[in-house]
This record gives sequence, C-alpha cells and structure tokens, in this order.
Amino acid sequence: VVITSKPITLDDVVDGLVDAGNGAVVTFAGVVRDSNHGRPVTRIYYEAYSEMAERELTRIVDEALISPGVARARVVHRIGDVQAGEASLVVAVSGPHRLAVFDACMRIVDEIKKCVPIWKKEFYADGSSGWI
Amino acid sequence: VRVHVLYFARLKDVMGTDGETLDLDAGARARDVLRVLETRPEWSGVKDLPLLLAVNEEVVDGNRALNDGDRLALLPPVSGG
Repeated sequence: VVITSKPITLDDVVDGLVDAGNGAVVTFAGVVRDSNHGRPVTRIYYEAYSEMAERELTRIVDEALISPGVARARVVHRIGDVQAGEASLVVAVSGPHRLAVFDACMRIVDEIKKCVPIWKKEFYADGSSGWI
Repeated sequence: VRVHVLYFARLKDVMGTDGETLDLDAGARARDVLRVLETRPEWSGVKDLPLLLAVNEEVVDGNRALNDGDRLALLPPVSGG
C-alpha cells in the first residue's frame, strides 16, 4: 500500500507481483476523466487523511489476501493534483487462476471507494471547482 | 479533556483551517465536539453535510468517550479512487 504525490505507472505496481507460481495478474487503473456530467474537467485535487487512509487501505488489502486464490495485492493511490488522463489509483492482484483474482481486484476497488478517507476536488475548464 | 479536531475537504475549506485544539468538560463524548462547532457561524455552510467521526484513526459513534490527546477527525463522505 502506497499513498504518493508522484505519478503512478502500471509497471511500477505490477513489477515484483509477477512470478511463475501465479498465472493470473489483474490490474485496475482509475484515471481522471476530462469531463464529469458534461462539464470539462482539467484536474482533480486529492486530499487524504493519510494516517487513516493508509490503515484502511492496508485492512482492505489484508482482507483480500486471506481469500482463497489470491497470492499478492498492491494498491497505490495518488494525492495532490492529478491531471486529466493521469492515474489516481492503481490496484494489482495476482493468484494462480483468473477468477478469484478478478473478483479480489473488483472488491478492493469497491471498498476503497466506500471506506478510505480520501476526497476529491474537481477543477473545471471554466476556472470553477468543487468538492465531490 | 483536550482533543485535537481535524477537518478535511469541504469542511476544511469552510472552517478555514485543517484543525484546532478544543477544551471540553470532563466526561465529554465525541458528539459534544459537534455541539460546540454547531454554535459557530461558519458551521451553517456544512450543517447538511453527513459526517463520520473517527477517534485516533478509527471510526466511532457519537457516544465514544474522549480522552486527553485524542485526535477526533470529522470525515465528509469519501470520494477517493
């Protein structure tokens, strides 16, 4: 689990997760969209309650790791300004077979969106902004 | 009891700070912090915002008794990912 203000690449997250014992690696990248409800978006500012967010992310990953068929899992969440087109969240999960790994990746993302104290403020092309 | 109150996101903007220290009566509970803040004029900007309470990074209900040095975070609905 990492919370970072630096750009995230998929490779960084997947490196070290791939090994010959695990035939399935699933990744999810959450990318800042350039529009929301039809409004052009230029960037999103992410704010975290870092100590608690790290704790919650670790709990979510630990829960995923005890389910059968899941070998490893990694989560990287960005904070600070993230430009449209850049990843704000990358999740990678590995295991022997795909089904459990797809499922675990999905559950991790769902839990992150529900429980982790991170907030986003959208900045629009017209210069306005708002917490969502 | 002396507690550190932490504000985030919209709440931080409205309160104009990321946190403050509050002195409360002995035996105060988490919800008593909200009672104090509700008397502030700026609170009207967030009175409809549903807030979760966390003490020392763990979600609690309003009944949670507060101890000296506790960090009480007021968490607006999260929107990470």
